[in-house]
Amino acid sequence: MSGWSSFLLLDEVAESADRCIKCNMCNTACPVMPATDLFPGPKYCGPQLQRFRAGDPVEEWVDYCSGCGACTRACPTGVMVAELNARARARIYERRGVPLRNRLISSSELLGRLGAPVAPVANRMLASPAARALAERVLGIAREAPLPRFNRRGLRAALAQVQQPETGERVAYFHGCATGYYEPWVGVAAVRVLNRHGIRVEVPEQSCCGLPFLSNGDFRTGRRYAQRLVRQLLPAVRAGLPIVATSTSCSFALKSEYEHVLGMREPEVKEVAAATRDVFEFLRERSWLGELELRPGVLHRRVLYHGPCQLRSHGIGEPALEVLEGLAGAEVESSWVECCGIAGTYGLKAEKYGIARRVGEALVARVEELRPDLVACDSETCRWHIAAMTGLPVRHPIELLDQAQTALEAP
Amino acid sequence: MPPQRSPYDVVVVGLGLAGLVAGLVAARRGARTLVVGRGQGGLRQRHGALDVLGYHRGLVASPERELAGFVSERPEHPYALTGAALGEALELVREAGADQGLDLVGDLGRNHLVATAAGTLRPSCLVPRTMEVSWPGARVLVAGLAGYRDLWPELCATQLPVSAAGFDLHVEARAVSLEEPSPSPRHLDGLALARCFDRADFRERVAVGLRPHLDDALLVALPAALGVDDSGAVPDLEARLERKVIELPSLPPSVPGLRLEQALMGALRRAGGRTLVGPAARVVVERGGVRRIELASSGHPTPLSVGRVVLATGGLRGGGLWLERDGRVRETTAGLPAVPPQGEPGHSFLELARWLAPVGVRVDQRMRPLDEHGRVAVEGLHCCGGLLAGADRAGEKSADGVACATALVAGREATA
Repeated sequence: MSGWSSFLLLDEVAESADRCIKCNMCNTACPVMPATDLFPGPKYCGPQLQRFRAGDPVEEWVDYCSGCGACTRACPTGVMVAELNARARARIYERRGVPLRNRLISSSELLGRLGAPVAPVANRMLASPAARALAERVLGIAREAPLPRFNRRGLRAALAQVQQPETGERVAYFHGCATGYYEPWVGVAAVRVLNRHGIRVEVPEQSCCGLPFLSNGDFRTGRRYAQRLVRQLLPAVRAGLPIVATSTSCSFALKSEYEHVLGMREPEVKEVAAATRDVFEFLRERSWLGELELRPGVLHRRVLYHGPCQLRSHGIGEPALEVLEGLAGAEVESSWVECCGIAGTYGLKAEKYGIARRVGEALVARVEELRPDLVACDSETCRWHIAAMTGLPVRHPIELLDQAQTALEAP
Repeated sequence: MPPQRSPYDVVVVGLGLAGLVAGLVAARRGARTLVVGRGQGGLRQRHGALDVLGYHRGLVASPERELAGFVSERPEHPYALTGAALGEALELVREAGADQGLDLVGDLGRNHLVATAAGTLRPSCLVPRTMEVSWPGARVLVAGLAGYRDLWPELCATQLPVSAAGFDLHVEARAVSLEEPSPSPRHLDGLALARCFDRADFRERVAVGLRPHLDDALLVALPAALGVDDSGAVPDLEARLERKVIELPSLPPSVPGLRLEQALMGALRRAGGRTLVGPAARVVVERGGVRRIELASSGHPTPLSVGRVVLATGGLRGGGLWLERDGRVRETTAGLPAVPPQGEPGHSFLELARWLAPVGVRVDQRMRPLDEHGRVAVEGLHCCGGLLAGADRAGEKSADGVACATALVAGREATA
């Protein structure tokens, strides 16, 4: 079982359990605990059970951890609770075998590729209540769970029509599967915004980051994807290009989870992590440095911005919110809510969808309180979930920025 | 590469009481303010009342009257530096709380005695309305709920009259344990219980269970978990029981502490300040001044250029100070000089705690850190709260007053 050494490895993540002082701060931050009695909470599943994880997997409840990371962020002594949970989950599935359902919902890239040529048919099928009921019974994918629509035209085809500037600083764009296959317009908006600020965007060959496999307990496949993506991005990093990303969960995998969940200690992983920026983090950093003047924009909308849980784990604040607040006419409020509930693929599962909805109630309450025209959120699965819960349009903030800047350019 | 433009005028490090007050003061004075901390701040582990000065040669009845004598005896104490700021800081917290729906009562004029789940009475100055009691002649029904172990009503009811007698008060207490309603069968800490009390149907069932036991009780004491979000939970219970209802603080997670934290964070955000829970911060000092702050973000640090820094990182318990094996004390965020413990550590836990109590960073009246010669150690930086040297917070019951008063001064100085 050589490939699994990282779970048993006593690295700093495993050792961080010893810093637990039982203060319960993680439990106060956990959004899943109040939503279900099936999850004993981060303190119990993380640092406490870590003591017993030298041998066989000892528990199954840890699978109810959504992986939102609120516990790790809340811990005042530096225990990496969510990371411990992700590893514990993988050991359960290593033993039992990863269920077909988990592998299927992890395969965003494969599905995106297979679905593209038959998009209209596939979308009709996904919209059919009968097909969804069947998928719930046979596979355990919740029938109400929000799924993306397949897109015939991927990001590369869409970008072929964007005329990029010929000179200027270059960045490498890491788009992730959702933008690559389902919502290419997010990537187009990112490229347009970057171009507008004199930055040329290259799109290196890239595969899935493997994050869905990490959070579904399939580390073997996850690590394969991770190694491949690091290999694919490394030339750009070594050429001095920042890796700019629009999916905050995928970029968090690059920045942190390869090392802290998978235990990948290779220097190349650190190199890529150090070069990776969320697109708004990149814009904000360059403007702070005085190297880039953020173009003005106008957006006459009331926007509720929800910073997704995995963006919060970046530890960079909410750069998209800060940029959106600068737009003329825009009324922007932050949700201040820890997690929308979906947490990647967690809420797609039949036995967890109800939990995801209950976790999401805090966000729904904020929507009802503020009555925004639309919601902005940097993470794709959150957008689909929030749209399904609220019926409001939910956009990536880069789309709004592009729209706002375009509005000022129009003759 | 340091940023050239300053995104923030003031960065406060620490999300406890001192950090939130300093941030609130700075934000209200118009500064672009960020309050950042490694993990949640300490308020969720404290009782939610504000201790100012509980003991000085015995119980302190009025902090206001006691303070002049206290600071003349203890010139190294933070209170000797803050002057009128203490009263202003308490008023600021009271008013910010009221604005966010949190009812805090009291002023420097007199201490309240707050009953705890252990049946002790602790002197505290600014207290949640739900802990305010007029004790003389009080007849208390202490009520526990099945499954919630952090209030053992018999212990509390036995101890409460003894504690009261220690302050020459006559208090009677009885205990009752409700088997029904049994709250959520799992997760029964204070926060989970408080979420039950947010629901009116649960409160009604508690009231039904309690009514047969009320008799001549004037007060009903329940765990300090009577609702997280519903600030009307206590008045609602009082109406149902036709008795005054009080909350008994117990083990963390502390719901009253969480309410205070949420109120201060809400006030801070309303004033335009930002908060960031998670990354540790490091202050980079060059040539005796703050050069920048680096947040330990994922993948790579986030450098922030900053006008002024307020350190509210706490003491040994909060992580702002670190005790080396050789007895030296290290300040963890900016490498400031810190006063080490004096004399011998003693043998018991209490002696050790007292030995460590006054360690920390020494400051001037503007909360600037001083070196061993009394010169300002780093420019552009102000310290407050548990980080400061010279207070025996647990012995004096002064932690919150020291935090608020020094934070108010630090927040002002950082925006001066």
